[in-house]
Amino acid sequence: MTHARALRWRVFACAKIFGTALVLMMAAPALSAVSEAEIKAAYLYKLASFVRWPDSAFVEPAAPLRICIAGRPDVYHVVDGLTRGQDAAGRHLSAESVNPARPDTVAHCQILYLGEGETAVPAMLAQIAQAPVLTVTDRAGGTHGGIIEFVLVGGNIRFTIHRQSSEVHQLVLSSKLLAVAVSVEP
Amino acid sequence: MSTSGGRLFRDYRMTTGVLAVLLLAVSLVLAWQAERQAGLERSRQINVQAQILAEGVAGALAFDDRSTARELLNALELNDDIQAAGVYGAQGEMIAGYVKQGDPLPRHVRPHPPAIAGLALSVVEPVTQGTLKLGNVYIRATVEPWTRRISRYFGIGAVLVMAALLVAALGASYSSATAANQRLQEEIAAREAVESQLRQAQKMEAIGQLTGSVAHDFNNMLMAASSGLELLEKSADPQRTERLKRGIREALDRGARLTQQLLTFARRAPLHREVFDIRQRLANLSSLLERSLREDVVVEYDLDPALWAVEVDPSQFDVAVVNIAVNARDAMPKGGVIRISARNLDRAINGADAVSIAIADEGGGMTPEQIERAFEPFFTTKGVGRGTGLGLSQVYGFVHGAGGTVAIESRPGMGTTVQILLPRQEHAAPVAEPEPAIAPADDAPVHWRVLLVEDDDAVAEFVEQMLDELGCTVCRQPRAEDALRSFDRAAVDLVLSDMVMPGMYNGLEMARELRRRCSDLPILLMTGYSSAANSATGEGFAVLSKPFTMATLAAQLRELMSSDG
Repeated sequence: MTHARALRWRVFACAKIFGTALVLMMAAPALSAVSEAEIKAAYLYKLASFVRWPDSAFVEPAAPLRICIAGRPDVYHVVDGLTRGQDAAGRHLSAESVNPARPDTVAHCQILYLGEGETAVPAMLAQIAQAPVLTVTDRAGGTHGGIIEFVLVGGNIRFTIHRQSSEVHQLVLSSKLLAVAVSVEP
Repeated sequence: MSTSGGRLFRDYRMTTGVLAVLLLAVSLVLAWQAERQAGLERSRQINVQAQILAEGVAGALAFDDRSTARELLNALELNDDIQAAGVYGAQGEMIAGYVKQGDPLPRHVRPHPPAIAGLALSVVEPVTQGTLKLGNVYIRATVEPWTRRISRYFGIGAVLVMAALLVAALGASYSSATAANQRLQEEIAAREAVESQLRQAQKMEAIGQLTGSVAHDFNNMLMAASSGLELLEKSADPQRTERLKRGIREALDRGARLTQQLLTFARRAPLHREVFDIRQRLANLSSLLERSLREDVVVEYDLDPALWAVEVDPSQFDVAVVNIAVNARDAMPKGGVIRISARNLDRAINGADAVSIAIADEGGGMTPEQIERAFEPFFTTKGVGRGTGLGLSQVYGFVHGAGGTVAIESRPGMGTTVQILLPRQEHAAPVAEPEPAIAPADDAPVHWRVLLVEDDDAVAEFVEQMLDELGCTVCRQPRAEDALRSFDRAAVDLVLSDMVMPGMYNGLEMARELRRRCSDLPILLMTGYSSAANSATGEGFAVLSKPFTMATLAAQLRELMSSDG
């Protein structure tokens, strides 16, 4: 190592240590490393902590908080794994896979995720009407009309929120949730 | 005195030193306390910042919203006190962060309360949503820089240091003032002692001037007494015998009065002003003057019967009069008259009333040059060995100390008059206590057994005879220790003892011992020394002044026996 190089190295080290505005960024983990289903499942699991349901949403005080997944068995499996033994809002979490053909089974869900391309979506949404159920649809998967809708922005999975719809369903959404939404529709 | 004073002022210096140190210590403690409070406050602030960030970043962490996390960090970056901040995911991986100053962000963090490491204060706050653990936020803030802290404390610190210095300086100056005062007090005491010695020396000087004459006068008295006795032995005529006895008696009385006055005059007494009547004082002094000057010198008095009182030291007054009289005597080698006159003068000293005492002689007078130098110490016109030149300087010192004046009026061949003016004292002199009248001799014989302790055989012989004459049985012991050894209370009614005796004990010590043994034993002490008499009367013993007559002895013995028994 020449003298000049050693000096340059030292200057670099100093700049690195005393730099006034050194912004460190972790390299963004490639989406491919984590599957789309895993991300959506994680979001569904975490949503439970950002939403407040009325007491009428539960059949009994000790009833678990059900996260129902329709049409995406892969997502269901991940959610099932995540929720096992976990609590949110003072209740046990449970994951349920619902049959789109039987809309009546969704009445006891607190979160209902309607996966891709379900033709039965309108029927199911109609079934829960104004019930305190957080409906999540997936635009990328061709489902629409949920209070929360997953969208793809710049290769990342984000979501939009329909506030009016949440009020109709007697749900209170955390401001933190609103803050990270891509858009909040009135 | 000086050691305790020294300790005292050392104590002052120490006290103020300790006070100054205490002041500094207290201020340091207060500063440390304030610093600690400031540190805690800063920790709290940083913790709150971390909590705010943790709350704000919860949504972004939950839903992988890096841009929101970065926006929150950007807002934090505006705060210059924060060196670095980071947001970490649930697995401990860094999501976003920045470093403005100092070390890079840690790769992994674990929640911990605010802690100081080096010059930085760092905190890791967990990010949670309900029971959901979402990750951590990390904030590192600068500890307030030394420069800023020092500048904060500089003002008050400077004031405190000045205050401490002030206290120390005051203490030092106070202690040096105390020391100076101490020295002054010591000097005053030393000076007073020297002055007292000087006064005594002047008195003794005056007596020395008189000695020749006193001895001469004494010889005359002894001559009268001895020749009287001789004639008495040869005479058988009762009338003539009676006359001779009277003559001897008078000569002895005169001698006794003279020695009494010499003792009084020479007594060492502290300077003590008192109000007295000059007529009375001069009358007391008269026999000393008359007897002691010279037989060819006559003293005449011309005293205003209504003289005002003065307030001066009486013994100094006596010495001054004697000094002037001795000068007058020496100015008249062939004899003559010394005229002492005293009268009141209105507004004579600066408009105030005064008493004038003028002492005039018929001597050779003085030249103006001599008058001018007369009051100088050691100035004398007398021959070597005849005068010290201190007499008139004593007069000058005494008169000026009393607030009066002294003047010499003289012309060669016309005699000299020394006039003393002493300020009038408004309060009249206390009426002198009349001499206690000796009770008329009680001729009834007494039958007391007297233990006589006297070392002088001649005196003992006479006293023994006197006691015998009174009817007493006498047992004489020449020494105090013999008397103590053979003392038997049952065989003794009273003890009559000399005070100044050779041997292990003197009369007073023996008397103390006897009183200790028998508190009811009547003891009468005899002495010719006024100082010894004073100490004995101070202890409550009855004292008989030598020389004494049989009548005085009888009266004292009767009084003692009646009061004690």
